Amino acid sequence: MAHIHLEDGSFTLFWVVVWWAIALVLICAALIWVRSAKKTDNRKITLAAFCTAAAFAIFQVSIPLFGGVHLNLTPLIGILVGPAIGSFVVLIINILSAAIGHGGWGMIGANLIVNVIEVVVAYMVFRALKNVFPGAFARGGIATFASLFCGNLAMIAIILISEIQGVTQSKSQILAGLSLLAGLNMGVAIIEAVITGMIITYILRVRPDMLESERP
Amino acid sequence: MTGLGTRKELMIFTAIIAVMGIAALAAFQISGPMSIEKRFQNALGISGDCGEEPEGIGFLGFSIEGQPLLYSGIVCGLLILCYGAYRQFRI
Repeated sequence: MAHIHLEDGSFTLFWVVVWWAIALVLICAALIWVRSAKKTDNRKITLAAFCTAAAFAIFQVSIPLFGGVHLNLTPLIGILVGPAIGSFVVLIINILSAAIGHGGWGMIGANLIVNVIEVVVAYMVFRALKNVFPGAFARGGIATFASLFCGNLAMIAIILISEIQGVTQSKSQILAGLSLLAGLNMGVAIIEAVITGMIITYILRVRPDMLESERP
Repeated sequence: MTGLGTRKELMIFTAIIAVMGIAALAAFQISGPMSIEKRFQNALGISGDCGEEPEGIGFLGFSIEGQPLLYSGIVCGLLILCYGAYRQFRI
């Protein structure tokens, strides 16, 4: 759910370059990880394509809740295809979103970092809780909450660190405002957690081999 | 186990939902109803129309952010891509 909704020009050029550079390092790491795998399961490509299409389609839909919010399904992407391929999926979604005017081109780097954190945390928490929470619904939901909470923290940190142009508030006022925003985002995370839990439960019931996070 | 989970698991999950729901309602009470772009502007103290994204088409309060025509075109393209990937690799 965490997505920096600021237009191009909000960050100074220096910070646009910094966040893009970090995002590219993350993408390169994901690329090396995928290439180092002995054998890539081609079926994952299909799953990644479905994840991209579904997440892009849902990401652009503004839901009439709290004045207008949207889902992004990044935790589901992480659980289904794993952090490496998931990073490519969120990269494509961010580029396509910027192409239709949802988010600025200069914000892709920062938003990609936030989304990659969400993908990685969801995957790791879902795997880590396997013995504690054997049921897929609660485990998927809790992984989603953890993922989106970390995504919101990353979003706040990026905005606080970056020198945003035209800002009239002090750092503490910005932190207070963004904390309220993060609080609302966590409310939206309830919908995302339930959806993710239901989808994961269904997939585990019919095709458990499809889940990257359930593999040994 | 692949189902909903034990009662304990569901209780923990419900408790997290309750906490998040209360936090979100409290944040909403303080900040009031506004679009996500406007929330960012308020949080940062940015004035004016900057940050507003193009208004999309809507239905029952749901709307498309960004250019609806481009959105439709990209979704169609992605669906064709999915079909191609499914035909080639299965799932």
